[in-house]
Amino acid sequence: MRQQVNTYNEVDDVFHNAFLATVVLHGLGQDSVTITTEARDYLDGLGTKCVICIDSETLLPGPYAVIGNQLRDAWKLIDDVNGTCMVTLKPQSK
Amino acid sequence: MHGHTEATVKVGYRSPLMIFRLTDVRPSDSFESFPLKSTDDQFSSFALQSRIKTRATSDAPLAGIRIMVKDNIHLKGLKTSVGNKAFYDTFPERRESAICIQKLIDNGVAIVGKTKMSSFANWEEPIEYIDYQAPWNPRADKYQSPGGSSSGSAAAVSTYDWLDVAIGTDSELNPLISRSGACYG
Repeated sequence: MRQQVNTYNEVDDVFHNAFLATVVLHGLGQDSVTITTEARDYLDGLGTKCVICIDSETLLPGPYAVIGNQLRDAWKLIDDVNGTCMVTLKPQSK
Repeated sequence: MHGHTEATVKVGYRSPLMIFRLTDVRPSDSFESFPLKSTDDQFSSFALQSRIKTRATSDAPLAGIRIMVKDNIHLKGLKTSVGNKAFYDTFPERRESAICIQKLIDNGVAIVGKTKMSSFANWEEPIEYIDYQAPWNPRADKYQSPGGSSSGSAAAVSTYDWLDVAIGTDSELNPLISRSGACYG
């Protein structure tokens, strides 16, 4: 988990630790996941308030926004400060 | 435009049992403009998707690479301006993306915008842009020439460190990419 968080911070400029307020673990089946004390302390230190396990395997890794009971894709908004574009584009889903 | 997957949630840490709906945008190969303006209302706003996600969608070699495309190259679902309002007004949204760009799309790139250019790729300086404002050159006093015709592409790669590639166009007779590149260092 620690390595995963470090990797996320290294490779991605959209993710930041605030997204760890809720951690969603997926593809783990119906059984509950056991959270070790070490993992719990680590996540507590990052501000995690909730860990959720789901059995869906279609969820892609990365940051999401929890809005109501839905997981929404999170986009980082940046101004086109030098007016470089005719049009900016909505991210596509694949 | 959204499909939903009901997923049963089991929680092993702090929270009660909840049912979450995962909102997945239906996959589409057609592009849409992003409607939000910049925080100062002067320009547009980019919407950047997480590289974690874009790299996970595909094993393709360019998965997660962020690019922009000069607006004389077609993208499916969008109109093309070639830097000219009359051209933009005349022709409808494109039914297909240009072959060269489709190859990039098939290899996993994330396209974030279509860049400005001089009208019909003519040799124009900012004071000669009529239909659309020229992009700003981030160098020096910000009023240096952006070059052309791939002015927007050159401006974008020199301004935004989060951008990996901006596509321009060139010709033997008129070195349009290299001229813009020289203006931005």
